[in-house]
Amino acid sequence: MTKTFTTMVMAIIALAVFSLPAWATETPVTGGVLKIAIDSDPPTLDVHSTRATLAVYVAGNVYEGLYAFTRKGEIKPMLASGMPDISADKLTYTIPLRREIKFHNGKAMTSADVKASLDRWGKVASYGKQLFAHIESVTVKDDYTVVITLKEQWGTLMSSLAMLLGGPVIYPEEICTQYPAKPSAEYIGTGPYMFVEWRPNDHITLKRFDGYKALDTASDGYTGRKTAYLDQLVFYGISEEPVRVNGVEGGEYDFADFVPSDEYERLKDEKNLRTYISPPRAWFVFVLNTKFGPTKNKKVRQAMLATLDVKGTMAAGYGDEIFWRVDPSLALKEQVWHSTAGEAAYNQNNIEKAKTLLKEAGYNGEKIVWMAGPLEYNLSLAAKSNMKKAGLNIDLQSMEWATLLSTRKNPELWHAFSSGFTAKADPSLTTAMNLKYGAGWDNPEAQALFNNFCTEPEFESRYAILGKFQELVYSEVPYIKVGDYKNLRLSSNKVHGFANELYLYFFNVWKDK
Amino acid sequence: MALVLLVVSITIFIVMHLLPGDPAAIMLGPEATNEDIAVLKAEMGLDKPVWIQFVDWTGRIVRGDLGNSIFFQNRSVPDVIADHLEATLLLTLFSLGLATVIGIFSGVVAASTHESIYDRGFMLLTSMAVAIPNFWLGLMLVLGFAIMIPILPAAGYSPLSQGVWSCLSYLVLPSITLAAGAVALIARMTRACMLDVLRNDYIRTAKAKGVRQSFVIFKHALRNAIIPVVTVIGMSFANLMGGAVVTESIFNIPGVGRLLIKSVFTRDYPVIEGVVLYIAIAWTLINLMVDIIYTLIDPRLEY
Repeated sequence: MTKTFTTMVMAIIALAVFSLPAWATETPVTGGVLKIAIDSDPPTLDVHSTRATLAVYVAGNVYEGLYAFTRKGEIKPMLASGMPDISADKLTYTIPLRREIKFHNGKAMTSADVKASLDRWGKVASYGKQLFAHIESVTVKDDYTVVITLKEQWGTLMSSLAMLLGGPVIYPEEICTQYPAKPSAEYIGTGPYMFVEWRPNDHITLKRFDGYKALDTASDGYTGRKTAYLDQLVFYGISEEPVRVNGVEGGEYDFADFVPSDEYERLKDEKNLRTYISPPRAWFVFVLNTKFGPTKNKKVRQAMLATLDVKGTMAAGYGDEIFWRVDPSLALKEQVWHSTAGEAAYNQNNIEKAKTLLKEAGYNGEKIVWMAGPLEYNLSLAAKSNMKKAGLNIDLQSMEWATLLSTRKNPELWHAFSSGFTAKADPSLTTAMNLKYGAGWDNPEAQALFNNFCTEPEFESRYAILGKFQELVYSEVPYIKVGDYKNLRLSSNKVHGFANELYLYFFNVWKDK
Repeated sequence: MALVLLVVSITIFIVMHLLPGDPAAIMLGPEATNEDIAVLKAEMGLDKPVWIQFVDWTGRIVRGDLGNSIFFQNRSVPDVIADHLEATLLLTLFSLGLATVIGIFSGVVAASTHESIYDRGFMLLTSMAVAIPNFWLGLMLVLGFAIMIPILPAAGYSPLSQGVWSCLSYLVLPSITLAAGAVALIARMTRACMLDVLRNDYIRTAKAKGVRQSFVIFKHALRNAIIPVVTVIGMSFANLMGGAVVTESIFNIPGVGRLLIKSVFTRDYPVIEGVVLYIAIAWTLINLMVDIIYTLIDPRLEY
């Protein structure tokens, strides 16, 4: 009896002791520095001026817009105090602003800052330019009310206002005046962390903004309560993958993004580490030149599409299947916009069909110059081998991004290039629907569908239009969708509260001392 | 010197502008359209014909103005380079000091025990040090001393202002990685020169007169054998001052070499031109320093 009792007591004590750390870590801790290794320095932190995802990883902690997306893609107010009051003709949006907001320089945010920011975004940002073609004016009604007047009904207004990557985040008016067109070199926002310093090619430091007024709604994606538990966030741009992984394993960094997927098996059971597989964030594409060279011929493009074996290509280029998936949609499966329209043409792996199409096209083995950057080279190589079987003469050229981006500007020099399209809350904001991308896609039907998609206010009608657009993509083949991809992230087990979402952000994250 | 710098500057300007690449495209990200890129390029003044950019740039260079970085607009190029100098300078001095002491000592021991087991052992080690690629050595050192036995940081850099010991702890593994190749070079050069000198009559005479062996080696032989070794040390110093690109990358050290590589990838032309100019200046000054040291070691030399 005594022995049994002693054993039970020991077991209870052991349970209490061993469960203590796990229980203790659930309580957020304030303080500390989080060192984050990302795969490169962002080109700029001026979100208006770039579509580079890396910029948002840092700047998403610094800046906020009038609205923001929840995890499910719903739009919620952020710097606005409520949803806009929309006029009956749906042309006037009156937006009330929160009154207690301060910028990191201590200045209170008013409608003058919001107007200046929206106007600058409309001139500088590519999304802004697209939207402002349909905006009549942005006016200040009073210190805390802004009015946006549209020239015509435009369905993407709210999604655009809620967007962070390349979106209309709010800067102080003086920053907009000082940098009317060039990328800003001063980074003043309203977010939970404020910019401290950027040591070129070394690190970017943010610190907690004590004047931050968090919303009292529950945290959900970029909306709701944002708490800056950490004293500082330090971002290191490290392009060498082993350095990022070794850095977290050795304790020098707390978090690393874009960890090589083949490290997953080794790292997932390490007791001092945590691995995270991100949700699908983008998809690989082969963009084809519809204006010059052999790919100008639709049947050649259709033949290239017919050869595609998605599984083989993704496995060769992106490793284990847990990091990618086969899906024909121009929106992610997790989004309401997901569609299977035109899927019969996706993932055909039909070499005979491709041969027939090439014969009908009168293709005589003309060289197809195909450019691929480092991330996409292997999967392009795998796709090329199938195309070669069909008789396509592919000249696949590996090049670093700077050269590819520069060569891409001259459509006479290339016929295809590999790239990635990131998912957006509204499909009209994705590169998949951008008819000016690459060599451009001059297709009146696609243009009409895009315009209708943007002007149509009802979801059901918009969804139907998107389906038609997707079918058109699969029949005209301006680009070939390959597969959705995820990436591996790694942190020390001292890091808690990390929301493993599409983009990285570190508010609501804390670290054990 | 001015002529050298001018030739270097013009060459690098031409080479960089011949390369494909566009800072505006990199700034906007891979999903930008050609139209967006063209607009930003115009805003940044990068759409001017190359010869106009060249005239502008030469005018500025003559006035000593290296311009501002494209990606860090509020920072002048000298400012950006200065930010990276501390790490490069300390890494260079630390690894060169290590290489010089170990290299000269090994070379002297190997030469004075010629054909012995010590000689062969030292030479085997130095051959291995030259043969091992430094990226592999660096990764192995990280695996050994930062992950398996975590006594040193795996990567990064702590400025001197945040404490000497912290700074040194970040430099130990990179310095060993970097010093390995230089140790081998210095040791082999020292050994060869010492063997040559030790065969001279005056060494035999000194030994015959009963002068102590260590005195003969370090006072009479080493001083006469050291000049070619100083040349090698000088060249290694100049090389390292230009940045040890691979080592700085493996250990994520924010030095000049890494700055140069990253600036090439982002086509930050003013920074690339500034760094190359700085490397040219470092080479010229270090060569001058080596020449001065020659005259101190061997007063017979005159220029």
